[in-house]
Formats: sequence, C-alpha cells, structure tokens
Amino acid sequence: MTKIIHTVPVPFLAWLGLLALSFTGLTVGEWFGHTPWMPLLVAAIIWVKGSLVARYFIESHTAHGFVTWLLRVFIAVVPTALVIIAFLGK
Amino acid sequence: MQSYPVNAGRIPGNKGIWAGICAEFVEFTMMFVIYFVARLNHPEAFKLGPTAIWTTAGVVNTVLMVTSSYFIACAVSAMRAGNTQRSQRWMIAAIITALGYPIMKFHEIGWNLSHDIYGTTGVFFTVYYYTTLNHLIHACWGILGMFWVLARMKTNAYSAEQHDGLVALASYWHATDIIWLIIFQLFYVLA
Repeated sequence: MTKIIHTVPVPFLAWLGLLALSFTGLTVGEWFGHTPWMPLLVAAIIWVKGSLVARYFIESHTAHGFVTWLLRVFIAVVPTALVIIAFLGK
Repeated sequence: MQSYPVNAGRIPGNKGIWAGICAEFVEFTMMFVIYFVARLNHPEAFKLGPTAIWTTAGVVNTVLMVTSSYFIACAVSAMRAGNTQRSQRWMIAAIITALGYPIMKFHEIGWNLSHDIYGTTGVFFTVYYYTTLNHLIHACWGILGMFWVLARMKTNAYSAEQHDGLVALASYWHATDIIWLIIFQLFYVLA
C-alpha cells in the first residue's frame, strides 16, 4: 500500500484531498448545518484546502518569503473570522 | 515529478503576476469583510440563504475549479521536465475544464432567476451575487490567460529552462481557485 502511494504524484493526491474535503464539508453541513461548531469545522476545511493548493500546486514552500507569507495570511483570514464568530458572534 | 529546492526564494512566474494576485487577495478580503459584517447583522438571512441557492452548481463548480487547477499544475510539471507536447495537452485539458465554470455559472444564474432569486431578494443574495460574479470575472481573465499561454506554447515560446509565463498563469489560476474554495464554503455550505 505504501509503495502504491509513493508512485502516485503528490499533486494528484492533493487534488483527491481537495475533492474529499469539499464533499465531506458539504455532507457534514447538510447534517449539522445549524450546530454551533459548524463554523469551526468550515474554518478548518477552508484552511486545509487553501494550504493544500498553496503547498502542492503553487509550491509555496519553495517560493520567496513574501509569496509564502501572502498566501498564509490570505488563507488564514476567513478561518480566523469564522473562529471569532463561533466564540463571540451572536 | 520534479520540484524546486525548498526555500529557493523564487518568485513563481514573475513579480507582475504577484502584484496582481496581491490586489486580487485585497479585493476579496474586502468582500469577505462585507460578508461577515452582513452575517453578524443579519444572522437569519445567512442561515436560510444557503438553503435557497442551487448547491449542485456550487459542487460542480468546485470540481471544475479544483480539477483545472490540478491540470495546470501538471502542465507546469511536464514543461519543467522538458515534455512540451505533454504540457500542451494538460493545458488543453485545463482550458476545457475551466470553460465549464462560466457555463455552469450561466446555468446557475438562470436557475436563480427562475426561482425568483435576485440581487435585491435579500442581503444574503446581494452579497452572494456581488462576490460570486466578481469571482466569475476573475476566472474569465484566467481563462483568457490560458488561451494566451496555449498560443505561446504552440509557438514554442516556453522550454524546460524558461517557462515563467506558464508559471505566472498557473499561480493566478491557483489563487483564483483558493478564493473559490472559500466562497463555496461560505455561501453553499455554511448555513
């Protein structure tokens, strides 16, 4: 199994991960749409998906510090707002 | 699959495209601020809004955006490995997939209008139209860029050593993909 994973290109796994996270988020949203912890889950999904695109498609870890910083900050903006809303918003 | 050394300090593509991506991120950050301000002031509208819009369209557009992004990453990788023909084929696949996005968006807007969902229907829908139509414009620019890069590929303008234009386009499209992934979660999932 480990051998098979090593032969699959990493961006392909990232693509599969992005689709899996999208469908997981949607399914959980349909079941638990109005629960108080839903914004936290959505925040986590947004952060992981954004990080996957930045890391494996843009290859931000090999890029100039400003590019890495820019992507990190933008990807964190909405999840941070969702976490604040989850704890403080009424 | 070849990759760059870690901490190489490279600018993916060129500085110009990152100035553009920076501006794009600032623009959408402002829109997300508007989203959260509206959401805090009208929680009921944002609770019911996602249940009224066409979720399937959002899902299809997510698959199209993510897949076209993956195809462009493959086009960059193939070019980096010196396989220009393979890179062109990936780019054509990316264009075909990406073109599905405005087509699906056109159907989504038609569906909305047939269900009496207009920009004036409520605050959720105003923010939804404002944000998603802006994203559609950015995506259309990206698609035009893809056609330009493909035309450059056809004239052998890129090689394994020099393909900054291709990487610049890829960076822009991936950034636009990240924005869509956020929009999808906020408008189609989070009730």
